[in-house]
Amino acid sequence: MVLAFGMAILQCLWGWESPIHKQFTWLEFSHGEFPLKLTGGIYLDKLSLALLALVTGISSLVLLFSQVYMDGERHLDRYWAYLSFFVFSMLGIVLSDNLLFVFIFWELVGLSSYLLIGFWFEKEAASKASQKAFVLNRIGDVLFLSGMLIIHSQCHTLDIEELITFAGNAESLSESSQDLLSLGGLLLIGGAIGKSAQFPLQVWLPDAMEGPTPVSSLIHAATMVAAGVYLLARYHFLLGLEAQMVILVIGALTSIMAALAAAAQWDIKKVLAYSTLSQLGYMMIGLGLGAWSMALFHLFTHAFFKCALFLVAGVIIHENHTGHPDSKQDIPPENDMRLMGNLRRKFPWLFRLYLPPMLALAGLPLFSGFLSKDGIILASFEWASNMKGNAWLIPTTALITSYLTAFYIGRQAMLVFGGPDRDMAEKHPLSWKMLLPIGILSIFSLSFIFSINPLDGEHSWLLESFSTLFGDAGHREPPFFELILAASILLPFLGLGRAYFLYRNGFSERSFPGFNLLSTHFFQDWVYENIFAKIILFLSNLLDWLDRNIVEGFFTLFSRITVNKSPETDSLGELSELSDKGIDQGLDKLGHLLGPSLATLSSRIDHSFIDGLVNGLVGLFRGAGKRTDQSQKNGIQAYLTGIVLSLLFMLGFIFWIIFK
Amino acid sequence: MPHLSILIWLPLVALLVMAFGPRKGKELYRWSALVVSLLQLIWVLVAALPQYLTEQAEGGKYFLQEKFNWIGFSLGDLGRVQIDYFLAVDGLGMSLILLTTIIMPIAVISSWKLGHNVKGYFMLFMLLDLCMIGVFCALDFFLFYLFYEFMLLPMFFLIGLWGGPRREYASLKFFIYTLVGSVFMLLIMIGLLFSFTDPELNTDELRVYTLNMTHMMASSGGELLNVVDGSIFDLGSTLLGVNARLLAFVVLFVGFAIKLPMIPVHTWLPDAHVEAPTPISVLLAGILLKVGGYGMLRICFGIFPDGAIHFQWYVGLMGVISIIYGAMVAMAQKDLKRLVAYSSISHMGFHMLGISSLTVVGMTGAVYQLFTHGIISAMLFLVVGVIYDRVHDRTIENFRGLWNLMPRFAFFTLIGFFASLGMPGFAAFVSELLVFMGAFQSAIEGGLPLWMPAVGTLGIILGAVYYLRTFRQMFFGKFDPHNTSSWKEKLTDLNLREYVMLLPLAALIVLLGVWPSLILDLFEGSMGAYAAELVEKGRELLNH
Repeated sequence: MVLAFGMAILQCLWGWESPIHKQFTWLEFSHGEFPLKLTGGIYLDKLSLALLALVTGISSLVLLFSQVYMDGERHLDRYWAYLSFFVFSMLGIVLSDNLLFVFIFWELVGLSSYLLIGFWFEKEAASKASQKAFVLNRIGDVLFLSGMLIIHSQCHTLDIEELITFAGNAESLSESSQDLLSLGGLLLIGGAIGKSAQFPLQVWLPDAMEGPTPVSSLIHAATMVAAGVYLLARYHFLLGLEAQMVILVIGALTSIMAALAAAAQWDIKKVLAYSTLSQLGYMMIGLGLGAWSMALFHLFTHAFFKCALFLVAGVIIHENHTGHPDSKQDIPPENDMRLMGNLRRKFPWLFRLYLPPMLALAGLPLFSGFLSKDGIILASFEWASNMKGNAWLIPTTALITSYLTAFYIGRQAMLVFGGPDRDMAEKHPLSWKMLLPIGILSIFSLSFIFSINPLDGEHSWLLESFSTLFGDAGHREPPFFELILAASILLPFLGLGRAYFLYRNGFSERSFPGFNLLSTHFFQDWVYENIFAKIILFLSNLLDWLDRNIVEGFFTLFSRITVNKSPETDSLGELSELSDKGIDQGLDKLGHLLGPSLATLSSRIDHSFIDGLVNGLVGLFRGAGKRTDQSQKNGIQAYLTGIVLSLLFMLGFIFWIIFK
Repeated sequence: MPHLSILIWLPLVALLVMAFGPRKGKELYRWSALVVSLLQLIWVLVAALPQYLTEQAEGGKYFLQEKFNWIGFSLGDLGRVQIDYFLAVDGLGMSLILLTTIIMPIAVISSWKLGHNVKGYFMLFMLLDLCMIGVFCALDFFLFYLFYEFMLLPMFFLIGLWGGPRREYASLKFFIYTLVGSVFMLLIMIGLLFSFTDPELNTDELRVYTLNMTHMMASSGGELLNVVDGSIFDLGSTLLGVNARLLAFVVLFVGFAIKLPMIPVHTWLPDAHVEAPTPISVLLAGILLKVGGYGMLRICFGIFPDGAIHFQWYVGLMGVISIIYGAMVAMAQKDLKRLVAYSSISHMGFHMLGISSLTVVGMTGAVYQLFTHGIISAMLFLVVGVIYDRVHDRTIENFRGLWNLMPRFAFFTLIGFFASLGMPGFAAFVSELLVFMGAFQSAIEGGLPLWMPAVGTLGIILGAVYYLRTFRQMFFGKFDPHNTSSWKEKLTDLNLREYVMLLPLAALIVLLGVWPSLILDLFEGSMGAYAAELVEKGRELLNH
């Protein structure tokens, strides 16, 4: 993996300026109006190179961390295999040059995520969480697939360069095909909503924390969940204005809902999970505003600091993993922040490394998070100033979220590292394999890595290179620029301060109003599990019942009419007894059975058909299976009657055709 | 070389040899069945397929042709009836023959542990083998009908004599249902016989009626070439006040839909699967259902292309209903085998959606769907068989935590399940992708309504739901030997025989998922040409 990272860096240095595009043909059809040609290939430009470096870099660090974290687990071979499979698929998404291959790797990433969340499959919660993640992702994926196919039916290509050309000429298309194209773009968002965990499919991500913590940090914080943002940014030319509006609203809704929920969690990982949702919501806001490069910039800064925070949580969980008797709720004790406190004293280095990413998430100046978050907030104000109506709701939401973000992460810091001592974990030195990755990620949480000026992200090297790619560069200066800047600097301080005063004495049971509402994430899960899932299960059972009783009933009715008995009873009984004696004897016996039957058939047709019709109808009303008529016992006769009846019918038909 | 005849009659030779063999002595019958089925596979790969490709490169529609006058009799003043022994394949037939010869040896290996009456079993098996290959290459309607009908008989006995507790019921039901379909087909066949004449043998004095399908399909510029004027299936003929050709399309379609099976004529399938022994389930799902799909394309769509255009909406609708209904009912199943059976129904819905798109991509995808589903469902039924062999139970709820107990088995099940739910990288994804590509294209061009493919994609979500629920229930969690204490010893991991069956299938599923052009490049040209021609002719005939 380190090797891969090294190669990625080399590749970056070599191919930064000019895109590389190599293709092969995957499937080719020669016939039809529009010959089908599906290609695969790689497309390397600044964006994919930067992500390549990000994915391989963070993966290397997390793999190093995993060596200690996962030490002593069973089935480690599987763990490494799944992780490698994940990195393979993730790189596939990043490098692919067309929507189809993005989709293929997209689903493979979902599969590896499923396997990794369910790594501890003996735990009930983990197995449920993995299933939930996959199914909710699949809903998004199916929307993605539909969108992709609609686009394909319009453009007859899925290759990015050809799509760009096609979208560039969109004005020349007819109105209906423009509508379809924008419908396709709209459906692509579905895919991003699934993978990047946005409302209303976001509920899988908090549950996904059942996976091992390094997995959470790599997949469910830094890389996989960013794939949706990457997809939308990369294929932004397919998105119409309505689509952007949808993204904007979804992003804003997710970010504030998740930030509120994060403020009411006791599980150390759940806080971070909701925080990830909220930050992804930020990126979506950025995309919705059309500030593509700003959203991607936030993707990068977020990947580093969130991954670091997860790894810190991982260290704490690992060190606490002795088990604690006093578990308050269904949270595992080693994850429960109420049982932690003053870990600053026990793990001083860990605390020092924790601070930069934590402050970056809170969005304080001098840290990376500020640059990108501030950029998005400014962009949203600028956008709102050009719009009318309720547009101001979006920037306000972004500001409130930034306050809440500082509050919940401050709360976590106070609960875990501040407050009074609790007798969790022994004080002892931590392995360098754990601290080194966190340290490196911490350094990347500082603002000077990205930009010299700590208050101004606009001249960051990364952002500028993205801007040249997307052509959305430019100084953003909405009205009241200074005021907004001040608010965006001050609000995090307020949030941190509030957290400090609320939790300086450690955790207290005293909670704020609506705590329950928030901690369950507005009962969204409850609604899904108790309403949607129940409805689907009910429908499924109903259809099954119909299938067994009604659709099946036609057959029973049919056989009762023709055979005058239910086929359920012993019909081939005599034959099956013979089975051991050899099929040839069985066939002999069959002949014996058939002989007499044929002889009496003509009279039987009268009896069994006409009588049977009447009896069958009577029997239907009387209720099933109560027949006492034993006169016709042999089931072979059932189909014989059927054959003869059909033959008669057929003969009539033939005569009619010939002599009509 | 008469490749197709060799493939068809090789099992018959084996069958005759077996018939004179001793009653006891399992080894002889097993090994000869295995050798015959492997010989067929090798013959296809080494001789028939290369020959097919050479002929395909030279152009034409049907390859590996063998045609003899077979039955001819005079009807006095009416003329003469000529029935040919006419075998030939195109991409459609050849791909399904390849599928049959791949599945066959695996089904034989899966029958290895069969306890009683091995002789009779393998004789019927060979008969079935013969009919299945015959059905995919017979181009004379009468010959097709013979193979089609003869398939019923061995299947009926194989389920009825070697099946589970309710085998009599299941086999009878299977028989009655498919018989109804056959009767439908017979009616149409007789009508067709008196509607088409053989252009090569016809003279001014003597009309030579034929059942050769290529003559029935021949049309140009909206005119049927070989039709008898004013006959029952001439353009514009009516029957019971409706267009006779359209009526025939519907009747034939229902006949094949029973075989496929389509909702609501599907109820024989779950029962037949539940009662059938594992190898028979493998054949049933792997090949027999495909006969229905093949028949739809070759017979219904091929001979009555005007019906295909006219009923496009209805075929698509039935496809979508099958997809959703099959998936929903699968979700409610407690028996693993029933679940897989209903998922088959759902997947055959994709086939119908594909052919109803009337686009080259969609129809080729639908044929490929037959191929991939054949391999995947065979694998799934083998997976069910592994469990059932050990503990004689298939109830999903009774299993827990099998992953730790049988990790290798879990691995293969995972491949089977994920392949079946359409995960990219496995074969079924490609076929479903092509089907939906065709269906969406059709929707954009004004064929199917847009909601049909859109609703169809829900089947993909539902597929994930029922497979993952099952996988979680059976393989995740802790193994609980609470009331099943003897199970722990019985549930051992795969043995060599099971590896030999599962490994090739799994490898093929992955290979075809990653490299679909391996198979598609061979057959796509011919299938696409067939589909394109069919649609064009259908439009012409309907507009005429």
